[in-house]
Amino acid sequence: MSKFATTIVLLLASPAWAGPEEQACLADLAAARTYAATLPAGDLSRRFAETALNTAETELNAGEVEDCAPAIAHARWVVRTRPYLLRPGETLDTPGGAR
Amino acid sequence: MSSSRIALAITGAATVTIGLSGGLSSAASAQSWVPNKPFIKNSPYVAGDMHNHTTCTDGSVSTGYLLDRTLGTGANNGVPNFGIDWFTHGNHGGSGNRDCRFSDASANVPGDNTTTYWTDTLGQTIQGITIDRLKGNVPNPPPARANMYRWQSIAEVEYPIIIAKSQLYKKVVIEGLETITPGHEHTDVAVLNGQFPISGAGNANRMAEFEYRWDRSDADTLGPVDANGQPVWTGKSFNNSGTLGHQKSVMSVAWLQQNAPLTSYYVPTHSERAGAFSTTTSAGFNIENYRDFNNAGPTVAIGIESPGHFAETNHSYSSNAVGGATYGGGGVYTAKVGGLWDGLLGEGRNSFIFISSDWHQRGVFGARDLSTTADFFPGEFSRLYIPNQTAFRAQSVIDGMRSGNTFSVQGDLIGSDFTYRASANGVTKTMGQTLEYRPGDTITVEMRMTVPMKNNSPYLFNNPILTQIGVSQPLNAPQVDHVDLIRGDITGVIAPSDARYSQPVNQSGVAGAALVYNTSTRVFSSAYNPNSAAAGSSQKMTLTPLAAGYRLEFTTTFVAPTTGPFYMRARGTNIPPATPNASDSQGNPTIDTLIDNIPCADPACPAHMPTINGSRRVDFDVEAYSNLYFYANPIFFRPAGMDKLLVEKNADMAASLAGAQASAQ
Repeated sequence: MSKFATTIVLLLASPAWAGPEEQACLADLAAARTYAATLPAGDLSRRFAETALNTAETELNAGEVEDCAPAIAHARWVVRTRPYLLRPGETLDTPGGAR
Repeated sequence: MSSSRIALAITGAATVTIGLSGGLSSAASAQSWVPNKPFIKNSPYVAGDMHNHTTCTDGSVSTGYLLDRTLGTGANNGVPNFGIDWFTHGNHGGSGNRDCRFSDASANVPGDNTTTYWTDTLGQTIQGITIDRLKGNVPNPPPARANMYRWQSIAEVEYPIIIAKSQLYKKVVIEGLETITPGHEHTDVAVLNGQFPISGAGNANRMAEFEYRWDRSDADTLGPVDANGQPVWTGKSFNNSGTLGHQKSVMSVAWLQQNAPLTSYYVPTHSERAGAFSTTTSAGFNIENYRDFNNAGPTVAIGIESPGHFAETNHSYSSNAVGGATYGGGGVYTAKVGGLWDGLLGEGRNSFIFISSDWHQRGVFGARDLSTTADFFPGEFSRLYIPNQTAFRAQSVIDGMRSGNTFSVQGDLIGSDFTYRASANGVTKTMGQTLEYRPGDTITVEMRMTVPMKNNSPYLFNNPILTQIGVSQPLNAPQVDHVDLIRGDITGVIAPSDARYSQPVNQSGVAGAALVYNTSTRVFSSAYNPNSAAAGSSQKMTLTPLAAGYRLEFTTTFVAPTTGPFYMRARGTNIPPATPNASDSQGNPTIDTLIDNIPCADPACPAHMPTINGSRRVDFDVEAYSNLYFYANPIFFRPAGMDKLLVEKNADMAASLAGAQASAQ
């Protein structure tokens, strides 16, 4: 069994036994979630950041650990630069309204 | 009826279970509707999608929900379905810990909004499927939230669901894969073998076997086992990176060519995204990689998929991607005149473009929302058109793709009744085919298209890219501005021993956009919508109003050259040449990062657009619907008497294989 295969088997068994890459991703994910939470709860950029972090976790759980770090980096960039802003009285509407 | 169609015709609807102790279990009825109720649509082409994801891997919705939204028509409580005609389920390889009979909580689907894991449901019968254990080298009993290997979910979960939905909607649905490619990033694959047998129940065991053997994220060392507990699929390699990984991928193509030469395809996807190929890690694809694949699988490795993720910023491409980002929503390999695709066409290879959704999720929105900051559902924004048949079957999808007689459309810029053909001396050929000529012959190229009245955009405000140049055009009613015919010379197949085989040396990042693979390629002629302000003295198309939309058509004639063979591909767009931040003076799409410069100033501009330097800018779904292209595969032209092109030889090979199969039956 290759080192890569061993890593994944361990990951399958439990995230706590994950290989170094996966463990690093999980640690970065936790730190980034804390960082995102520094923005107010209703902040639109926080929502974008948390969506990116959920994507990172999903990719990790689907075995695509290489997609984890870019998603976390993007989330951190969103928190830092806050490019998504709601104007006063504005909500994140989608055409047609809530379904 | 061709041999392959005979092989795939279904006469029964029996159900069988192939059950080994740790082997595959498949309990799905065959597509009994096929011989009795063939799907017939009054259109020369039918729309589909081959690249899409669910909670079985890294998607957000269940397999059933994806298929309902994709295959269904009309709307359900205001939530639209997209009604495509055929569907290949192309989910990732590897493994996943979520039960894809359920959607993820993030999708916010009413009644199905609790993320569910395989280990939550073991032993339960859900949607007629019972999963008793996680197979392969997963411990039994498994730890909480353990992953299921994809070879198991392909065979035992996805396949039965796609068959059930196929029967429900009476449409062709195929179990495919987006494999995590050794030495590279990702590739779309389908293996039809066994899925639609002549009689009895089908199975996706060959598709699952491909995933187990060749996917670099599938770390299972066991696979299904026989009654004695012995592995059924032996000899798996774990050389997954760099040059060794690429060699494994070439072997996977050879495996397809050996086992499924007429019933499979292998099409690398978003192939610029991971940068240039690396000899030591798993990265992107270079032209020599494409050449290797096509050489190993002449009837299987048939092209290149331009990226999906159409509503995601830069379509998921980072600055490390070859080209530095996307161009008009396409990767630089296909968007650039003279780019990598033109390099392959310049050899006369059967290399065709296919575009699909790469559906995963809608970003900050839920699955039922109309807005998206990530992906569109299959058929919502992009459509891959293949030839229709009076009795359209799963094999029709593979045959149609292999033929090259296909075109791909963003944002419903044009409809299904497209014509692109060339004629000389009373002989007419279309996309993927080769027209013979004699020097001095008059060659006539014809194109006809219908521009629909509207698309699926939820936004009715004017296209902000076009607003820059004073054009008022609602996002939900795009107009074709012009069509380019792009011509390049064919100079013959380059042998692997030739230094040019791996030239030019690929480069990650924006530097890769400067690479020219076929110096002869150019925009040969353009034809404009007569209502286009950019038309000037250029050729204008004839416009005929229709009840819903309008028809555009044009004809171009030219004298056949005295020189060697050539090809002519086509693209159309709603963006005039020299539109700031979107196209250059030749009509080529510019790098999509420039669209960040365009204000989204309409009062109806949605709140999820980014704010840069104090103003909202165009991004996400608004960018997608603003910047539309369609791509038509090439027609090849060869002087009479000259040896056939590789595209013809490989088509002949497919025909010969089909004939041999017919004789054997």
